[in-house]
Amino acid sequence: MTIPWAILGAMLGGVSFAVSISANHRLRQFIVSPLAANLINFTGGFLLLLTLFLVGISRLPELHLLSNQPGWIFLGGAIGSMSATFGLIAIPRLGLAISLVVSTLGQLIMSMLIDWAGLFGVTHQPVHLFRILGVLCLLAAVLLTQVVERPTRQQH
Amino acid sequence: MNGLNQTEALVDSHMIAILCAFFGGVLFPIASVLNGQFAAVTQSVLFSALVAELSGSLVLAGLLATGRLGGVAWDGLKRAPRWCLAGCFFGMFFVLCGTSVIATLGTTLTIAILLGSQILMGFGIDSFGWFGCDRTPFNRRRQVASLLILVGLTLLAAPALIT
Repeated sequence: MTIPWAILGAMLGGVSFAVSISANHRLRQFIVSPLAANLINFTGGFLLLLTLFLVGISRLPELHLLSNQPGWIFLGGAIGSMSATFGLIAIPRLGLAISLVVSTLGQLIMSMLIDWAGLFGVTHQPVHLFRILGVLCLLAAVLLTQVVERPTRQQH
Repeated sequence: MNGLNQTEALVDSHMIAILCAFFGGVLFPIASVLNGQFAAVTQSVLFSALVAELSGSLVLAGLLATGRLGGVAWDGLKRAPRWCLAGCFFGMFFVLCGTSVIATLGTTLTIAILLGSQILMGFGIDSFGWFGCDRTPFNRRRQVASLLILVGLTLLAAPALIT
């Protein structure tokens, strides 16, 4: 995949996430529990993907490819759902705004750490000035809208 | 019983709540990287997303089953507009996109673009009051924040685009 296409793909992902959050937020107003709304989101996504495999649009990969892999490679989904849950636990105490800012800080710091240290088998990428400035701009944007201004939605 | 109120009882310390929010943020890129690595090994983004959605569902179901994170009004599902369930599709698409691009863009750029475009789309949703959200005008602060996001993403993406 070329970099411009990958950037477009990531943008589509972010836009989809915003729509998903809005739908989840609305769903939560009916079923009360944010955790249950997330569960419905994950389970619905699983069933949609399962359908793709069942009707033959996509084929199962060679599962023996996974036999020599470390156990943590299976944990992406579980860790993703825990990430959302930790956010939900923090919101009632901190408020939505501070939770989002702190969570964003965690996301950006961890992302740079993973790239810099080459964690989880990713290619090492140095932390250069552009990267630090870019991350600071994003953090400033989140601070500006989430702390100075009353927020209207949750992230996860 | 309000789910959020029940959840509140779990963390009565401000510091622990901050750690939860931070840790929640820290876990997010780890999950994206692991999904990307899983896709690279199996050479299937769809299978990686399938396993991620299944394992996420199981963890959330387990947490809900403990009953310590708030009650659920399941009968509310009947009253909820059908389009709310479309969130599943967009959530799945988000996982697919993140998993597809992270090997090409690296973790920081992927997470930054996901975050930035999510906030910009959020501004759009708020401005037009889509999906049942209250309308919030695209005021000066949001305009400046949008500019900061675009500048930030340009700074992050420029080295990758130049090389």
